[in-house]
Amino acid sequence: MHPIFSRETLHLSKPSLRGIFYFLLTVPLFLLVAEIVARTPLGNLLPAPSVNADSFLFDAKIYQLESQLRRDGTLDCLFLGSSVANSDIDPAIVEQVYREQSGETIHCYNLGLPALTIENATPIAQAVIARFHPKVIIYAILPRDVHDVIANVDYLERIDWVTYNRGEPSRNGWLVNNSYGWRYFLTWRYWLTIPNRAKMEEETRYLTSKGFQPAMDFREPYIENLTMTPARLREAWDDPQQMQAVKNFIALQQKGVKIIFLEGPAYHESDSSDAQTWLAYDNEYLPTLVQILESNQIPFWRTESIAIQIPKEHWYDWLHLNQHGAATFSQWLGEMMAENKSFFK
Amino acid sequence: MQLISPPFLFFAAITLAVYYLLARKAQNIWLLAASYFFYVTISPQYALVLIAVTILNFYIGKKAASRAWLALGVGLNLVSFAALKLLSGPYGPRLLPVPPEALSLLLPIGFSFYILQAISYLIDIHNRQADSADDLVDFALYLTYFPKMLAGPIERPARFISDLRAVRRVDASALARGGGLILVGLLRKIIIADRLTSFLPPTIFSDPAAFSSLEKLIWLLVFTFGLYNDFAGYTSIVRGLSALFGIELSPNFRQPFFANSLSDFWTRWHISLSFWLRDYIFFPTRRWLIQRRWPQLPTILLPPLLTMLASGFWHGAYASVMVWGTLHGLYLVAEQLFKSSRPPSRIKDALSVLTVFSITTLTLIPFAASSLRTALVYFSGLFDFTTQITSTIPFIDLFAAALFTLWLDWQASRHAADAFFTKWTPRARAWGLVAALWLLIIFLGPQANVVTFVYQGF
Repeated sequence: MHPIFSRETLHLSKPSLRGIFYFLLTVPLFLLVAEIVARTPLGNLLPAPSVNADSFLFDAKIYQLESQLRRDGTLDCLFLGSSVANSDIDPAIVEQVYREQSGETIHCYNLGLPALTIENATPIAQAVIARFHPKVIIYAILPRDVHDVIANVDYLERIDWVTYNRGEPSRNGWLVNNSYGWRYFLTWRYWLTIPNRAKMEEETRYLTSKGFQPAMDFREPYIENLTMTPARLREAWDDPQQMQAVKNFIALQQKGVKIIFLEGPAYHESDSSDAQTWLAYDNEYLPTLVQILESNQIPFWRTESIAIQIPKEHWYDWLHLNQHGAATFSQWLGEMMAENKSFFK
Repeated sequence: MQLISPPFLFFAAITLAVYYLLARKAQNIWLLAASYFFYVTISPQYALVLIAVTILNFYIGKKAASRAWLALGVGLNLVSFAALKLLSGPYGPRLLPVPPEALSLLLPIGFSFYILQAISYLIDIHNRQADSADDLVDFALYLTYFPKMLAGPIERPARFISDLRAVRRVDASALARGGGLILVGLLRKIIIADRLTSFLPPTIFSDPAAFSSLEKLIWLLVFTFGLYNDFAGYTSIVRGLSALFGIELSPNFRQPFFANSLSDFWTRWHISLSFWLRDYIFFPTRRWLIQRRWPQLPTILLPPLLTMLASGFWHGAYASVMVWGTLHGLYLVAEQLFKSSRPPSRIKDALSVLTVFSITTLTLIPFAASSLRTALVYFSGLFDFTTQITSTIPFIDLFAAALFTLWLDWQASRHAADAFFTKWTPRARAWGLVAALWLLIIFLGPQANVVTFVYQGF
């Protein structure tokens, strides 16, 4: 037998050994640098570290929420809901009005996510509660949240960050929860795909550090109201699953969080041409919701009074306020919260 | 089992580990078994073809000193190659009334590479440049050695079989060199070729009219750099892998973008194929013409044309790729006819490099296009001088990929070796290794999509 190796074969050459040694050193160094960057203002200069959500808005909001919690130490209220919550509620204004009215400081964040339904929101809220311990969750609810056939973000329920924080251990879940190095690596991987670069920019456009993403000016072309029609409102509760979805969300109270439902504001035509819609809303949709909430002692804050005061030019479309409308609405909400300040203690 | 995949890594590690424990003869048997296993994992249905080609050529090789046996052996190989190329190509359905999907499966993976090796084996024996193999295992390994089986390099029998007969030694520098070549190959493949390929619009070479001149130009450059890095990356990986077995494989590339003439280009691009074509088609044809005292013009004209036409046919039996071959043949003829006698200068050399790069890149249009008509549309569209950009072009990524390609080539050129890193200082080698590992990690992440090597398709 002729040995293939010479005596020196397995004596790795010095540069190779040194290279491997340096490489092993750079790995913890990279992880350390990533932790430092993410936890300092330097992190704001970089794209948000991803939790591999395939929603860069969600990635960015989770990172902002972590940063805010590190800074403030507590999360007094969390706004949740679909695009209406995302673009209508500015926590900065809410906090300011609340402080002015009550003389107390609270810390809020807007985790509204376009296309979220109450069914999707429950597991996400569960993860958020476990991770960030908000005192109060204010859910901005719309008829579409219980009866949507157009869009939802159910994939978010299944991402590692959500499942891990809901108590399902996994390697990737641990990594996205505990390593900014890993999360920056995920952001980089996401960025490598060219269409994602535009998506990253688009999804987080105008996003403030408190999770508020104003809809700017006026939607062109103005889309029709397809989801809040009398017919759709009449069948909002046809499926018992929808009622159950609301009840499941309410059950999050058992995790030690207070829940408030906020009526998502919508535009009322001044000439009453949408009277049929509002009639169906008041008679077909609202009573069931109110009955579920009342039976569980959940406050429901109606917004009709402020919605009808907001002029048409302050609406982005029939359902979303623009930056001016959102300021008015947030002012009103801050006052409302100050009136109910016992909730936030 | 793809070359860049965890199963292949596992397979190579097991093969190497066992190989290191065996004596020379047993090593060859083990390598042959591993090669067949590898081949079966890729295309089990073609293993029988490989066995048939091996046995046939092995026994014909024993009698290849005779002209008749040589003609029979080469003829059989050539006819089977030509028939399979034709039938599996776009004209196949016209020749044989079988569904195109079935016809496209006719050509076994790696056939174009190992059939050329079989032909050179018979010819070299006949010309007494190689001895016929005594051992069927050695010969079978010459055709099927797994690092080179899928896409070359195309080896010559004399050197390869004599390597198989010798005791292999793998020392520390061979290990470092092999490992380094694999790393360089992975960098070329994963962070340059696959990235560039992923940017290419899927319809750029089938519907070029939808793109402006500027877009066509950019995507053509992207295709060129992608193709080069894909194949050069593959070659580097398999050369590095083979070095770990103590078997040297031929180089396939030598900085082709630095070529200063078209004949120089063909000593730098797919070297093992172009040298095969040179030795078995170009030289014999020219010798034959000169010996028969043909006039000078056909002696200059025919050998390069025939050689490059054969190169085109080897790449694919369809019009556009044959045009690619013919064009290269014509360039070589023109270069011969209008050879400048002026002394070289730096400026002239730089201009020549630029010219050769432009010509070879433009000539890749028929190579890449789905048909000759499309190639013409693409080519003429380049000169519309329209500049609007409708598709997303990631300029930073493209520029970085081109720069990295040129840097790797510059290093190889400067140190006159594809394993250029072996000439670096120890400190540079250590940090080079760190950089390479980091680059691979960040590009070969969980969402990486490693694309099959382009030349595996031939």
